[in-house]
Amino acid sequence: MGMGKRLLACMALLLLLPLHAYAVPAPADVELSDVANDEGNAVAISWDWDGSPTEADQFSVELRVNDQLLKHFELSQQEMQTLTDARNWLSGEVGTLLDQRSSAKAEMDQAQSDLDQSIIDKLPGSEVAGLRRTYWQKYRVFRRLDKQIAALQAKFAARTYKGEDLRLKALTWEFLNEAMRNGGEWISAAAMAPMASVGTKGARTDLFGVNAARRNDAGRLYFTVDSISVPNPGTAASDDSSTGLEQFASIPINLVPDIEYQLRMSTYGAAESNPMDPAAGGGPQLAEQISLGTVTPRGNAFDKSKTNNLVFALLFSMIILAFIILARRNPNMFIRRIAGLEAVDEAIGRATEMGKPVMYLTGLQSLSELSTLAAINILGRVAGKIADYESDLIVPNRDPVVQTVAQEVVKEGYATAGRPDAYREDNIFFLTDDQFSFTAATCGIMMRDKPAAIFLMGYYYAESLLLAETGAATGAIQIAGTDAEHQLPFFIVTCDYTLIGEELYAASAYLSREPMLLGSLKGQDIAKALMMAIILLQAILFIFNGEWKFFKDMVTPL
Amino acid sequence: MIFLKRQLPIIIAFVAGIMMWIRYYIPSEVSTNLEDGYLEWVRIIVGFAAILGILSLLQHHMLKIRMKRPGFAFSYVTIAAFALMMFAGFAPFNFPGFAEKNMETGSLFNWLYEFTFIPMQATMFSVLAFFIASAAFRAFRARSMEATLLLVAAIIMMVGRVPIGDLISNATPTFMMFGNEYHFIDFEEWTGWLLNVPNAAAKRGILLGVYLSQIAISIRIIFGIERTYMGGGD
Amino acid sequence: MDFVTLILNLDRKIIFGCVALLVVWPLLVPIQMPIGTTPEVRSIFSAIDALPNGSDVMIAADYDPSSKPELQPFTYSLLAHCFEKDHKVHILTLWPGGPALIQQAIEEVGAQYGKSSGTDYCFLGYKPGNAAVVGGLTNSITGTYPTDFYNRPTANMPIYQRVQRVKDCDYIVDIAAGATVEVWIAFASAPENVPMSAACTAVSAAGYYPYYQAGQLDGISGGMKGSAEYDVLLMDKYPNFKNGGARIAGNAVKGMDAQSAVHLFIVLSIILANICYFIANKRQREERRNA
Repeated sequence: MGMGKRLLACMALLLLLPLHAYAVPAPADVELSDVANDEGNAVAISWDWDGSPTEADQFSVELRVNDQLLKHFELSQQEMQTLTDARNWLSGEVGTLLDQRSSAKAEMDQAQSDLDQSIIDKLPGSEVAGLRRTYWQKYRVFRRLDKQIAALQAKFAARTYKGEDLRLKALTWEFLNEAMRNGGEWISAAAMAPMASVGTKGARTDLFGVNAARRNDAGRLYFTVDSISVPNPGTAASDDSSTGLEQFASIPINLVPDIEYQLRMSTYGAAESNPMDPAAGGGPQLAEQISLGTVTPRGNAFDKSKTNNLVFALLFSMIILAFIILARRNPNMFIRRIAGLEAVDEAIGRATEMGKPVMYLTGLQSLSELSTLAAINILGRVAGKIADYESDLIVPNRDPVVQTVAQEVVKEGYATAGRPDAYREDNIFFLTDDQFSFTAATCGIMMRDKPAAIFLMGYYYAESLLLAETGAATGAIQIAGTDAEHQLPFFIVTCDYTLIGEELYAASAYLSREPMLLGSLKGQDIAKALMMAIILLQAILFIFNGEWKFFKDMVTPL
Repeated sequence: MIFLKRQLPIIIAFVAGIMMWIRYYIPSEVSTNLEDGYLEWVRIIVGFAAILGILSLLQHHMLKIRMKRPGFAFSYVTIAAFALMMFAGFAPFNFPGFAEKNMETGSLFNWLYEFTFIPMQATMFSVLAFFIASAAFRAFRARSMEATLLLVAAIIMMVGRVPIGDLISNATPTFMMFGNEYHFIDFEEWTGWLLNVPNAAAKRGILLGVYLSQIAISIRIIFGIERTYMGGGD
Repeated sequence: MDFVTLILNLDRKIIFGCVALLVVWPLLVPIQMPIGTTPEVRSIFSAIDALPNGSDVMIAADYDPSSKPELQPFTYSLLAHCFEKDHKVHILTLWPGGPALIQQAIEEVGAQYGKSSGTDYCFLGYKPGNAAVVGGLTNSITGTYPTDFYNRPTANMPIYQRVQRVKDCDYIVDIAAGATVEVWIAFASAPENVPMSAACTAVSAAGYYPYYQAGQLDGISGGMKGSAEYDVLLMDKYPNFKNGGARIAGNAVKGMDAQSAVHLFIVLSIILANICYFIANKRQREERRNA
């Protein structure tokens, strides 16, 4: 044995000694499993940890890739060619620009420090102004180059991505191949993670016993792995520095469904005196590497953790649909009186008497929100009545899509009432999509036109009181209806009638008296009664410390 | 024509509604892609809506000016402000006195935004404080038992949510109960109770009702029972 | 006209005048009342504080200039807190009026801590379509925001090599003037199991208590008071905020005096109005009895 080798052996021994001193206990009783209810790109590891983990104890997980996986990443000859072409193109285009940018950056920095110095030295104003001009010039040159480079890189991405992550795939494939050739076939799947935070990230609710890992057991830790983190081969080969793409430090790629992975875990410990500072010889030290076994992630066709959601959704839909069918047979259903809706005729009649318009607001949300749809539905019914009474109807809008639909709805309402001639399209207009500009404009219209009746339906934010108080000041009859429960108090104190929450949704059915719509209201009430029973039952069980596993799973929030 | 106006939208609403509902329960890649595609569509449609809005705005105000309706002079202001902001945002050169163009920091657009738009918005919002004061003064009367409860709760909340509430609480004498020390007046405790107990209970009741109604209205729309929103009566 | 009728028929412009005076005066002559903290805000603070250094925090600043006084101080304090702990910040807005405010905040606080865009934080900018955007973020952040606010491609950024989806973030905070908190709970926090807190305007704070009690929100900060409480907590734990960081934290604290004064005024005026209302009622009854 030569001198050099002996020295190396000594150093290795020296290195080993502290390792054993800080070794953390190896994980025991490891269980590998597929993560249920996912897309099939995650696997779960759970294990018993002997002793209580601290933040200084760390671990990492690595995967071994196999031929099957490599095949998954393999590129066709043509794809390879596209990639090479695109990369050559990029390095040709961008090379000089990169140089220009770095020199522009240096010039800009110089100009800035000159400017700063001139201000500190209290140079005359004209000189400072000159320096400032120079700085802005340099700044603009730099910005222009920077933008050009970013645009080229975006173009490169567009050329190579072409619908799939070709560049990423190619780089990863290169790297994996390289790893196999050099025997370093273990690929990091999770960066070093401290023990103390394990099991908090990416963990899903354990419902109906679908998660095989028993992570609720005391002392058992649970971890999910869903991607491999590979260093960027482009930068490793340093041929991407000519393209400015070296920002990719590492590339995460998702695990692939239905491919078997081999896992191993490295555990680390740290010196107690100096746990986390690598500069002082501390920091994490590799303690042990344990082979965990193999596991295959599988994609799921149904997310079982959403079973309770599905059960409730089906149940409620069925109840509501059943009552809609019942209502067709027996159209005379009792619906309690809603004062705000009884007053609609009164409000419109008053407007006609006074010869003043009616104003209708559909709320501040977009058409995709259900409260806006409810408001639009009510508008349709109200428009018909207004046409009957021959009043004017003003509808300012915050959303252009809502405005278009409102126009349609009002037009139809007038037509159904037999007064298509009375419809004026420019009374239903768009103001602005900005909240308070909209409010200011609407309040302005209220003050100028003094509508006799104002309907505030739909969803409102902080402007609710501004609108309603201005309306009250003009002396209009105001009927509000909103499911924005924190704006309800404002409407209740300033408006004559307020539809609370679900009454907004019931209004369309109530006004039309159409049996099918009324039926759905009835169904909703039954569903609500059911919900109340469930809440009561759960509360009683809780008070008496009882637990009914199935029931508890049913009502666990997702 | 009737097919395009009536049946087709209902079919689209039904298919899209059912599909997005089922999608929620499927974790596979296909369903993720479907959702991605759908969300992209939504974003594109929202983008186009902006053009629709601008057209409607201009049309409305042009008409107002042409017909010389009351207050039509304000329409000139609206159109001028609109044109100025748009020009400042899109002009390909720096305005004199501004170091940047378009919407960058230091541009005219940014300056207008910061020194006209922001203060005007803040003004509108702060009007709220005045309106709340006047509304509270006019409307909060102890007319009945319920109104009195509302009044007392409002007063506790208003005092309890500002530092002066703490000052008052800490100034009152304390008493011992079950080994704990309590203040005779403790606004923090009281506001906490009001928010966490009666407030949360009422909110939950309303929310449950609202969400059930939303399920019901969704079902009515998906199955084509509610069609008012399409501009067709019944 | 006697005092009682005068009060009952008081012109609202007089009330407006009093409110204006009471807002301006304490701002000019600060009293600096001590500020107590509530459990709702303390739990936001301790949640952010308990994350290991260098965690990823997603901040949605869904407000616009109209609620700047209430929410912008919170954004500043939260950013300062995150950078103090070396957290990586992903900040975005669902409100069109928001970007300029966030830009101001993130650039100022980022510069104070020497943080660089793309590495330590990313300002993703504005995208329309609330739920659509949040839903998109749960699939891919860089896919939903291919470029950041400054038009740089996000896929290249070092910050997005580790984080791809909302699921990869450790915490979500929604600073909301509107109803976006529900969207974040329903589409990001609950399905992806990422803990979340909300800071909202004082008006809407009461509305989020059911979520707070159900554990879907770790904490709630309501309006300027919440921001002031956060400032106080920050200054308690990190003493350098008291000196150097005054520009960053402490803005909300200044506003609390004015808020106290106005609240007190409203309470007193309600009480006064009610006393007058009772006196007037009694008089009416007596008149009726005499007649």
